[in-house]
Amino acid sequence: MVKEQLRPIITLNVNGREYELPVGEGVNEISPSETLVHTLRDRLGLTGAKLGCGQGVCGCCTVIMEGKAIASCVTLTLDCEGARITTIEGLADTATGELNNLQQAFVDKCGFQCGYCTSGIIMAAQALLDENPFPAEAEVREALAGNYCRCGTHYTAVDAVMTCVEKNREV
Amino acid sequence: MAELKYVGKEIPRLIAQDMVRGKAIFTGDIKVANMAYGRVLRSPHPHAEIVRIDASAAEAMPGVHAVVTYKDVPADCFLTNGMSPARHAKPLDKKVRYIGDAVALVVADSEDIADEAIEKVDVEYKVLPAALTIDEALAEDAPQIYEQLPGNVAPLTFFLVDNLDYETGDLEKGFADADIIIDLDTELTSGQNPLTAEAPTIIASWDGEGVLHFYASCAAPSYTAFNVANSLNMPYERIHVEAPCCGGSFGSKLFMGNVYPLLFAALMAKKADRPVLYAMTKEEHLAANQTRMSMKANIKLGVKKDGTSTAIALRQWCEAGVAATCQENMMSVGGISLTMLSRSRNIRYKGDVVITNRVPSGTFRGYGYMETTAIITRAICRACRELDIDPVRYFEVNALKQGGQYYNSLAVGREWQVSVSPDWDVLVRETAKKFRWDERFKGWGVPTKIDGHKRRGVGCALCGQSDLGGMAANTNIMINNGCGVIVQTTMNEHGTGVRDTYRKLVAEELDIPLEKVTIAKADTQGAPSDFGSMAARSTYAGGMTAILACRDLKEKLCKQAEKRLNVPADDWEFVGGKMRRKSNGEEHILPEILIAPNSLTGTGHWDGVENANVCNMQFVEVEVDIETGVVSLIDQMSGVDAGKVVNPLGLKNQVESFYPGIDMALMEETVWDSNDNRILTANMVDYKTRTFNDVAHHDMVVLESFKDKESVFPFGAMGIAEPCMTPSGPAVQMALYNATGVEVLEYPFTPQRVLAALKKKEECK
Repeated sequence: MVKEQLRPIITLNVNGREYELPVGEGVNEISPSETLVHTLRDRLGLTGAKLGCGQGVCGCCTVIMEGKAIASCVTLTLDCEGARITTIEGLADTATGELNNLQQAFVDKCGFQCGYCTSGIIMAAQALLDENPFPAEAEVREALAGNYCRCGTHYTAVDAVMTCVEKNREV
Repeated sequence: MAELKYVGKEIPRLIAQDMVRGKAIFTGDIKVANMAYGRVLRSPHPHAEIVRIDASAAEAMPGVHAVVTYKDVPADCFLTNGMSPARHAKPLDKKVRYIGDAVALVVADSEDIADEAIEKVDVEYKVLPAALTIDEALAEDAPQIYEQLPGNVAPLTFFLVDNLDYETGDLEKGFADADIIIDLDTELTSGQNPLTAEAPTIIASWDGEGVLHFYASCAAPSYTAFNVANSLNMPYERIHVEAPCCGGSFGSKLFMGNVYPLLFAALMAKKADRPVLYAMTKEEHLAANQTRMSMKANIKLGVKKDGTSTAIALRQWCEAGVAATCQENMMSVGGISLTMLSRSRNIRYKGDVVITNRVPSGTFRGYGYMETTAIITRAICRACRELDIDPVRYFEVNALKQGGQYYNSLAVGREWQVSVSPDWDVLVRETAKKFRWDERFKGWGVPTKIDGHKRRGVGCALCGQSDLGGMAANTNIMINNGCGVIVQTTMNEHGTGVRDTYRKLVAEELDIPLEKVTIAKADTQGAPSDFGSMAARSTYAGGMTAILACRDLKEKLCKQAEKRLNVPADDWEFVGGKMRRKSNGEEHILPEILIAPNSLTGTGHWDGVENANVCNMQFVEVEVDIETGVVSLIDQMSGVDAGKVVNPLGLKNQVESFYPGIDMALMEETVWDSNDNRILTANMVDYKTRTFNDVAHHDMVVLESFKDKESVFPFGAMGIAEPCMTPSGPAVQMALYNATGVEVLEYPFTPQRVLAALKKKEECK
C-alpha cells in the first residue's frame, strides 16, 4: 500500500541553489517563528552571516534578498518563499573561487579587523553596488548606516568599497 | 642593519581570504556532535535570597537535558584569577546580588526550548535590602553583600603584595612649589560596555578523563584557562581552551576573573553530560556581562606657571559591582597615569574596590588608565586654564622621555622604571604640528569658529601605559626538513593582526620566505602558556618570544648539523633556509640533518620586563550647537610612535579604532534605573553607538623612532594599539570647553547636560 503524506514546504533560492525545506513545529522543520539567519546558519550551513544583536540593528546578519540588503535576524524564513537570496558565500566565482572585486578590495585595503561584522558590511555594500556601481562615498556611508563595527573599520572598510568603485570605472 | 623583507611591508592579512568569503570560523559557527544549547535564568531582584527553587517542570519538558542551580555548584567554586581579593563571587549562589545575576542554567536541544523551559523554573525569593551605589555600599548601616568582604570593600591585593597604595617623594614640598593646586572631587559613571560585535560565546565539554574542553571566543586562551582552573579548583593542564576567530575583545574577552560565561558552559556540560554551547544574547551582553568601572575620585594636582607639574595625588573608589575580580589590577595599571601625565616624582595613590548590587565591572581596553587619564586631564585642564598655559605646552613639558623615570607599582621592588621607549614630547609636538594646533587654538574658552548658534572648539589629550612588556610570554617554533615552520602561540587574533606580526618577525629572523611560516591555532594544548593578546603587549612581549624561539631553533639546527655532519656547531649558521659552514661557505640542505618525519623545536621564553611604555596623543575639533546642545565631532587626529611599523594597514586600522573613546564622551552610556540598578539600555537601539554614516575627518601621525636603529624592541617594533581610544574622551571634553566656555564633566555630553551647563553659565553672568 502506498502511503501519502502532505508536507508543507518552503523553497528558498540561496546563492543560485534551490532548497526545499519542510515547514512545521518539528525539530527539523522550519517553524513560523524561525528567522532567516538561523535557517541559513543552522540548516544550510552558511555561517558567513553572523548573529549580532538579534534586532536588526547591528547589520552582522546582512544578506541580499531580491536585490536588497536585509537583516536576516528579523526576517522570518516563511516570508522568503521563492526569494532569491545571496549570502557572502555566494559572492566569489562559483567555478573558479575567484573573489569578486569588492571582496578583493577588502583583502587589499584590509577593510576588516576582528571580522565579525565584515560579512554584513560587504553584503550591504554589495547590494548598493549592484544597484549603483558608482556611488559617492557619502552614499556608501549611508548604505552602511545600519552596520556596527567596534574595531573601527569606519575608514578602511569604506576605502575598500571606494577602491572597488574605482575598479568598476576601469571596466 | 640588514634591509627588512617583511616587517613594514603591506601583505594581506592571514585570515583575509576566509574573512571575505564568510569562511572564517567563530565559536558560534562550530557544531560539536551531540551538542546542546544553554540559556540563563536571571534575577529580577538586585539583592535577594533564593528561598525555594523548583526546576522539575522545566526538567520534564521534552528536549530539556538539565537545569543547573546553585545546588549544583561545588562549595569551593569561586570566580578568581589568583590575584583577586578573598574568594567571594560564585557562578550561581543561594543569594542573587544584582538584576541579571544567574539563578538557573537550562540545557536543551535548542535555544528556543531552553527559553521556554526557563519560564517554568519556579523560584521564591526573599528580597533583601540592596546597596546600589558606592556611597550606599560604604554607608555605615549598608547591607553586607558578601560575608568575606566586610564593609563592602575588597582590599587591593596582587601576587605577593597586600597593599597597592603608595606615596613617594615629598608631596608637601611638591604642592608648596606649585603656582596652582587643583583639588577636584570627580567621578566616572557612564558604565561603557565593551560591546564586541560577537557576544561572549563558549562551547564546553568534559571528556572521560575529566579534562574540560572549551572552544572559546577569547583573546588570551592560556590566561582564560588559568582563571577557569583557579575558579574550579582544577589544575591548569586539565583545562583545554581552543580559540577560533574572536569577534573582538577590547579586554572583555580576556576572562580575567570574570569567567562567568565559561563556568556557566562548564557547569551545564557537566550536568547535561554533553557538549553545550552558551552564546550570550545581546541583551545579556549589555545588561549582565560587564561594564567599564564606575568610580568616585579625588585628584590633586600642583602645576607651575611654566607647565611643570610638581605633585600629584589620586584617591579612587572603584565600583566592582558584584564581583571584585580584576579591578585592583586595573587600578594599579591606571596609576601609571600619575607619572605619564605629570613629570613630578612627588606622587600618592590610594584606591579601594567597592562592592555594590550591580552588574560586575571588568576588563576593558584602556585598562584602568583610560579612567585615570580622564580624571587627571580634568585637573590638567583646570590648572592650565587658571594659569593660561597652552595644554600642548603642558603635555610637552611633562611628557616622559627615554631614560626618564616613571612609577609602576606592579614592578615590586623596582617601581621607578627607566623608560626605554621614545621621547614622547616629540610625539606631542609632531601631532600638534600636523593638526595645526597653534593656528586653531585661540585660547581657553575661545571658540575656533562661530557660525550662528554653532561654536567650534579644539582640544587635545595625551595618555600612556606601561603594559607592553609586562607578564610572561612563550612561543615554540617547530621546523621540519622542508624548511617550513609552525609557530605555536596562544596569542589569539581578535582583529589587531598579532598573528601576522608573528609571521613577519619569524620569517625575518629565520631568513625564510613568509609562506614557509604557518601560525598554529591558538590552543592551550598545542602551545606554551602565555598571558595573551592584550595591553598592546603582543608585538613586544610576544614578538620577543618569537625572536628568542627563532634564535634557540637556529642553535639547535647547528647542534643537529654537528651531530649529523661531524662539523662543530659553531662553524654552522642557518642562512637562506640552508645550513652553511662559516669557514668555507659549504651549504647543506635540511634533509641532510633531519630525516623526515622529524622536527626541531626552538623555545622562546619571556618573563616579563617593564621599562617599556607607550603613549597616544590626540587632537579633536568639535562643533556645539548652543541651541540644541548637540555636540558633533568635526575633526580628529591621532599620533602614535610605533618604533617600527610591522603591518601598515593593520596599524592604520588600530589607530582608527578611537570611536569608542570619542563616544564614551559623546553618546555611549549604560543607563541604570536608580531604584534597583536595572539596566535600561539593554539593546543596541537604546545603547547608542556610531555607525558608518556619522564619521568625522580624521588623520594621523605615525612616527618610527626605532626604524633602522638599535633598540630593545623586535626589529624596533613596539606595538601601539591599546591606548588608541584613551585620549579621545578627554580631548572632546577640552574641545567642548573651548567651544562654549562651559565645563561639563559627566560623560556622555548629551544635549541635556550641555544645555544645562550653558544655562547655568548664563545664570551666573
